[in-house]
Amino acid sequence: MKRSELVEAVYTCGSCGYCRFGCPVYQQVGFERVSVRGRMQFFKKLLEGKLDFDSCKDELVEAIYQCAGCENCTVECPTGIEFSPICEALREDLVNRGLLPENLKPVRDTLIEKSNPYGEARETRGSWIPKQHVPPKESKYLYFVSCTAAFSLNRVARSVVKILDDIGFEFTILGNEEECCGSPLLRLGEMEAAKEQINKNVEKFDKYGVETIFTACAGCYRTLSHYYPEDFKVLHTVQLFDKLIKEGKLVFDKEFPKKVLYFDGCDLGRHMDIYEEPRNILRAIPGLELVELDYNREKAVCCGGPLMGSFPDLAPNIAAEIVKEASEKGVELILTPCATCMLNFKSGAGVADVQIDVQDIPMFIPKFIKKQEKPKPPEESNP
Amino acid sequence: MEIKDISRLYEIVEKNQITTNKLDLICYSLDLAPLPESLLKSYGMISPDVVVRPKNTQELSQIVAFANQRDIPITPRGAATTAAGGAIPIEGGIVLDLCSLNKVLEFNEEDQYVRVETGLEFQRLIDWLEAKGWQLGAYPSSAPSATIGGYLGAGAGAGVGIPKYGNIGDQIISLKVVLADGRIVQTSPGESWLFIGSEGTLGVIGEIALRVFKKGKRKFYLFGFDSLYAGINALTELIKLRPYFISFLDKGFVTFLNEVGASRLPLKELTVPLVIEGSEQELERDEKKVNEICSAATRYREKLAIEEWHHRFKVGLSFKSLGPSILVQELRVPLVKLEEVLREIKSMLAEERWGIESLASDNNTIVLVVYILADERNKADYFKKFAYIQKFGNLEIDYNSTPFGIGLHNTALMPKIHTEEALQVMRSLKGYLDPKNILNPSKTTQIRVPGLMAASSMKMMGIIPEVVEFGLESASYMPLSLTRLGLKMMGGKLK
Ligand SMILES: Cc1cc2nc3c(=O)[nH]c(=O)nc-3n(C[C@H](O)[C@H](O)[C@H](O)COP(=O)(O)OP(=O)(O)OC[C@H]3O[C@@H](n4cnc5c(N)ncnc54)[C@H](O)[C@@H]3O)c2cc1C
Ligand code: SF4
Ligand code: SF4
Repeated sequence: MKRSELVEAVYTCGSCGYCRFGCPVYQQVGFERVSVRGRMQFFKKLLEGKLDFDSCKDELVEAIYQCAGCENCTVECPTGIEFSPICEALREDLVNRGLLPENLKPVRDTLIEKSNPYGEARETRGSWIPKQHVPPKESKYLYFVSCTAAFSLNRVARSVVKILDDIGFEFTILGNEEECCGSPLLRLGEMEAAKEQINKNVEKFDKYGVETIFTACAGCYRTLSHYYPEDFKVLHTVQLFDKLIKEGKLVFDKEFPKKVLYFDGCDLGRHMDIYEEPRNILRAIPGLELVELDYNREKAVCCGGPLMGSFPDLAPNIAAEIVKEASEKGVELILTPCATCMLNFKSGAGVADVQIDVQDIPMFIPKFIKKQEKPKPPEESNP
Repeated sequence: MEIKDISRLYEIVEKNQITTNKLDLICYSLDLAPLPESLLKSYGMISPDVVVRPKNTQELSQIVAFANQRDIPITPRGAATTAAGGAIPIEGGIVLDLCSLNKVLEFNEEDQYVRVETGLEFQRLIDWLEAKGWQLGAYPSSAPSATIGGYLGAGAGAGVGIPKYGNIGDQIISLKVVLADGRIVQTSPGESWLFIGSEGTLGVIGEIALRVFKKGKRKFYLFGFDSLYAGINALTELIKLRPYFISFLDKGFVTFLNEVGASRLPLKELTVPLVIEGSEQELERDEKKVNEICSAATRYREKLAIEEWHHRFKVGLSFKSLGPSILVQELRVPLVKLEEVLREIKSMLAEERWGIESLASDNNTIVLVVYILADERNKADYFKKFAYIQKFGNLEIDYNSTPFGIGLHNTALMPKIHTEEALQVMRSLKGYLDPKNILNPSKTTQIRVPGLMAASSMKMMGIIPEVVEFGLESASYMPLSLTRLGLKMMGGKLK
């Protein structure tokens, strides 16, 4: 984004305030400085020299980082203002001025040093991987694991591998050679550092002859799709599973007679327009009753997950509102396509004091899969 | 007036319901209109000290009582989607952000009403009710943000539903209003009218019990008319059928929409979206009449009509990038005068790029929203366009029309709209209900910039905008106290 685009947005904004309707941050904080409208109003003063940057530096930095990048505001905006990329560019600008908020500096340092946000050693990234997938081999298909599945939620990764191994799907995993996809650094405004991670990953993709990358992490999926060279086809596992179900390769034969909410995580929903595939998967499970939030699909309100690191007091409160609505609708299980949402919903359930199970789709589905008579031999080409 | 001590506020509400953040204070000094800062300075505006968002009527009442006790100006604010300055805290003090007052308190299907807090956005209430098979009888096209209290405060002059169900004022069962001294009173339906259009100067509406209607079947139309005359005739007849929604877009407006890709409609003199609603039989009956009335018009596919309905909240701003500023003039016109007024506007705006969208209103009037493209960065040209405000004011008086909201900027028109006696009544009422003048001072009946001064500067803007720009810019360096003294000496009503 160039300065001219910010100027254009600032003067195009009609101050209608529609952007507040589904903004998770505004709805929680309640004051205009975190609405897109509000930001456009004080950016205008800044651009016109009516507001001195230094006189309210801290407030500005906070207002720029207090955005989940969920793009709900874009859906509502009648003038088509896309705030999320503007906000990322502003963060990059702040970073270049050395104004990354103090509490985020350790996060950034860890991300750069360890290539994951959890501070785990790089060499342990692949320690969960079943023997048959070590070391990485040449393959058209790559399972991009993500930091979260590699370090924090191994169950997700193991599930994905098991589901695909069971049906004889051929793929490879980079293991310790995988880097963070770059998403957390991009969200911080650390573009240069993110680019380095991206480049390293691309090198590995080339090294193993990868053509299609799939991942179970919504954040990786969005980043791989939008910030990487277009040479690779990128899929989210929900797309892959949906396809396998349609082709009859993945069949569910056990029941789950409960009310389930599929939550449209923003990285998969608004950012990537994927709404139906995860629902198709869940509809294929006998007995499962899908429940919808009042505002769903492109109108879904973000759970606030992206703010877990930067505004730890805010994020769970946002999630709590959604958990409450789900619980009022009789939902017993929330399924998300995104580990960030999942973790934040767990905290949110605590805040709301609601008993509700939260899982990631790959963790949830294995137990319903019909056992194959005998494992199919690997096919020549995957679906 | 600077508030010396707001610590009492912290005893009334939680810390996170109060802000003095500099950036917030900028945002809460503005409404929809992109006015040059120098203009607000010329009003002798004092920046607000604090913004508070009460979460229930009790808190609201205590905050107002506190303001009254300390003689602090207090400005109610909904979503600030009005453009006449009604929600601008011109005298500083406390801004009451009512948007957190947003709960549905009761839904009574048997007696067909819903009781809600007034900071609720219309969109949320509409969605909530429609999911249950009910609907509202009147709401504005700014529903995704506009609050119920703001709509009432601003006069609830136009909107979806009105041709069928009438003004929202007639649908009110009762209001809970916080008076200037903090007392909470509950109104009867008749008394409610007192507060409609009072722009937060007589009391702050905290709760409303509002009639709701069973949602019927709907039929969507979109017509194109080749002549203004035929279009207006049809419009007049269609309104008699009491549709749920009717509006018109003129050629200029559709040109704008097409230019930004928000529609692909043929250019006709008038394009009329129409939604009728009711039982199966009612629809059948009305459908026949609609077809008769519009027999000479082009009828577009239903899909387009439905799209138009879904875009009804967005169309008005969708082409804003073309300006990128837009000067909006709204006026209410009796239907019988519509054609003449449209012709007048056409000749008046011959040098501009403009378009009109209408909103249906009650009493056989229609509200015209005139969009004039502008660029606020070109100050002189922008000021020149400001001169249209006065011309529209005159148009209103010539054609028995009224401005759509008085707020801050249109106060000078009050003596032209009302008789001196009527104004006196309004002022005594204000004096009685708000003796300390804390509730939204300098609005509606309190003329801040005296008529002659306003009129002459408007005139000058039209003729020598550069001079006005220079004057305002220089004046904005003047000490605030001097500006305020000047205004007072000229007879301006400041707190
Ligand atoms: C795109 C667009 C479309 C619009 N369409 C319509 C339309 O169809 N019909 C229409 O009538 N208007 C329309 N408007 C104008 C405006 O949006 C509406 O009048 C709206 O209802 C105002 O609500 P608000 O919450 O923004 O009020 P605000 O602008 O916040 O307030 C309006 C006035 O009421 C006072 N006020 C606010 N809340 C309260 C309260 N609880 N108690 C007492 N006083 C209060 C304020 O002090 C102010 O003087 C439109 C505006 C836009 C931008
Ligand atoms: S991107 Fe999401 S969090 Fe950020 S301003 Fe828009 S709606 Fe709010
Ligand atoms: S919705 Fe868009 S135009 Fe309206 S205030 Fe928000 S950013 Fe501005």
